Amino acid sequence: MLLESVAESCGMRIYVHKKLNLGALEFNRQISTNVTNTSDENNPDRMDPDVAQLWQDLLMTMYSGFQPPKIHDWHRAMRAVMKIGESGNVLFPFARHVAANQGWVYPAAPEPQYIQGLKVPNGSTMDFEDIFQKALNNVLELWGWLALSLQKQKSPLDTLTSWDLDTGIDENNHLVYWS
Amino acid sequence: MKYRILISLVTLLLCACSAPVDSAPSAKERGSLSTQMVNLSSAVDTYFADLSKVPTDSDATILQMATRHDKRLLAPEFELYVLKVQYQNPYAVLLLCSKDGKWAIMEDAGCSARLDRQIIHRAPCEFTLRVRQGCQVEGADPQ
Repeated sequence: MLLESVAESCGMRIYVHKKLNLGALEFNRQISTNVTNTSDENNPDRMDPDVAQLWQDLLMTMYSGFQPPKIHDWHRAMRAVMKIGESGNVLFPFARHVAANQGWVYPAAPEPQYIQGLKVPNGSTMDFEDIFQKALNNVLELWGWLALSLQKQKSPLDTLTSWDLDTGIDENNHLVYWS
Repeated sequence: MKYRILISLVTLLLCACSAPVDSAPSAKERGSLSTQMVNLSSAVDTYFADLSKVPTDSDATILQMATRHDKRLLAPEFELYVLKVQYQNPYAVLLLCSKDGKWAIMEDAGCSARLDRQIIHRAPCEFTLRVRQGCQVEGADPQ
């Protein structure tokens, strides 16, 4: 099950990376570059103070009963993980070598079973491309609603229910995007 | 002797034809540059979007103005190359070329997180992308 999930994740990664046209997958630095861009200019191991303050305020508003989050610790840990994960030219060929000996080969192209006919929460199946487009449209719609609110116009955000971003289920036990 | 000279000339010719572009980035450098390029072109695109008239500043000035809020966008990796900016009302297109300004390396419009044109084989340092209404990019690598 875990291996299947990893293979599926790899398949999606290969598929998305190819679409982004960012060069060889082994040398992709997209995530670490973007994480680093949120660093404090004077200390890369700390998050930019404005971004950190924003996250801190958001989290403390939502979870007031908890200890304040250690935002800078999270940022430092994230950078450390990225360094390991993207050690590219050192770790990647080695991992490939081991994988090949184990009968697992990181494919040059995504295998269809990992990007086509994927199970989705409403019980049906969809291709990864369609799922991605659906997610993209949802994000665009939300930004549109936010734009209306910022212009002090009526917006669906006014009546938006609270929902769990991990499960996608709102306070009325409604699966927001898949019902 | 005559044959030896002929073989040498043919070898030289073959080497010259198959030579990589001077100072072309390695695969590793290309990976890093691609990500930086996508972020930089988006920043320039945003800068252009707020302009009330066509920019007449030099490319270097435009890049500085567009990255004034975050100088890291103009990454040191770019210093080994030539960066050119094109204003395509109101969109931005960036072109990265070899330091001698002869050969194109990559070209990107600021419309998306995708790097629009990777140039692996020799091609002149010239803009080829065309951005249409609604940020539709023409001339990009096929998806």
